[in-house]
Amino acid sequence: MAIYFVLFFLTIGAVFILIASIGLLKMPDIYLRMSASTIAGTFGVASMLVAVAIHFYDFGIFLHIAGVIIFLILTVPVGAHMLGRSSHIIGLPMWHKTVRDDMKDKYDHENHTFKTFKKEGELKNDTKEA
Amino acid sequence: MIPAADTPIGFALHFALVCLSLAYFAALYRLLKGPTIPDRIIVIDLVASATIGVVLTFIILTGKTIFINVALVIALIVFMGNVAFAKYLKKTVCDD
Repeated sequence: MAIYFVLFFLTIGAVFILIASIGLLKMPDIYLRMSASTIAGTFGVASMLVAVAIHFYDFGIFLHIAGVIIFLILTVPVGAHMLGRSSHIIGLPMWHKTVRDDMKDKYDHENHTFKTFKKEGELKNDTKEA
Repeated sequence: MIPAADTPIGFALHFALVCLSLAYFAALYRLLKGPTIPDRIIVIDLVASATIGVVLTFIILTGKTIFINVALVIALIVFMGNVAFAKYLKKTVCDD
């Protein structure tokens, strides 16, 4: 019975990593490529780890795999967020059908500062980007 | 010990290896062609995912569970690489 769960999770994980690679190949934009690669890749790796945990039914392996899954879920979005923020700061363009860009009005690309709103409608450049 | 390709678990393992190698080829294409530097950096993430998948498939194939540490170490190093490359990219534009 457990072998079917192993088969299911292993196949799902491998197919999701393949879907992540297809997204990396076909998406039109750096941000969309990053989204596809990180989300689907993390889910695929987590699913394959669950398959290994079911195959070897052992408590030590459960602990190892829970550590790896929690670490992936904590760190992969952080890395992708930092990379997307850096690529927005260096001025990479978005896809022409992208509808929303929250950072465009708040970041000054000439002298690299964030604009903070002091009063209603008044802009002030005081936060220096490190 | 290694299951043959006509048993269900052997077929699933071989199918997983085929999918992961296709993912490697897609990542290689994006690494060679990618127009900008962040395109080449996000390949690290997918290559790490595919490498962890190959390591896990190897664990199920051979039964050597000590190699789960390899998956943990790869996850650690990839985060460090992402953060370092993001800081480097930002420092190409803002000088401080």
